[in-house]
Amino acid sequence: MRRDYDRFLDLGARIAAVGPEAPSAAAAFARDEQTPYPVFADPDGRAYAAYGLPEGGLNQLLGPTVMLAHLRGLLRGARPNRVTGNVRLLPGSFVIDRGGVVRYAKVGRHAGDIADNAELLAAVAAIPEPLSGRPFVAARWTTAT
Amino acid sequence: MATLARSDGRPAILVGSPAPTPTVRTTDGGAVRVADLWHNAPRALVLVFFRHFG
Repeated sequence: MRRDYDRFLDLGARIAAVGPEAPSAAAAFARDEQTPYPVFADPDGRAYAAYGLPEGGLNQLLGPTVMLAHLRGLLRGARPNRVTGNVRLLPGSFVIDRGGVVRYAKVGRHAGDIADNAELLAAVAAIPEPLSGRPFVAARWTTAT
Repeated sequence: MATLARSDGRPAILVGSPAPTPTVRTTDGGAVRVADLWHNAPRALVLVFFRHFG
């Protein structure tokens, strides 16, 4: 995501990441990783359920394919942190147009099965550009204190 | 909403169907409807569900 973030922006896409942990864990992740996109928390898993993301079985969570994907992540510099949420939930990616219609959907077949950026970019590019879209105003997605 | 049953019996999201709009929490504990995210995108929202933040 981070690698192609500017390409998503150039196409008019905005990225939002959701994790099955507490808001404090999302805040720590956003701070530590300096994510250029907003990060949200779904500690009770309701958003995962709404998008049809299931809990994986043992092989989907710890099988050889998953371990290989994990190793690749480590080699790319990923830093494992303490996990506090539901570790059984599988990942997923969706592209949704401004009308709220799903244009791309991928539910991970296993824990390491994440959408390829090229597929996501192609899905965004296939959406007709708005004829007269209102200017985008960057939102911080935090609530006033 | 159009759905397709998966092998585990849960509904899957179909391309072309209306996206669900559950509420997610902001990093400071506030609530945001997912629909608010796609309404604020110029063209599209890429919604990514992580397995975890670690």
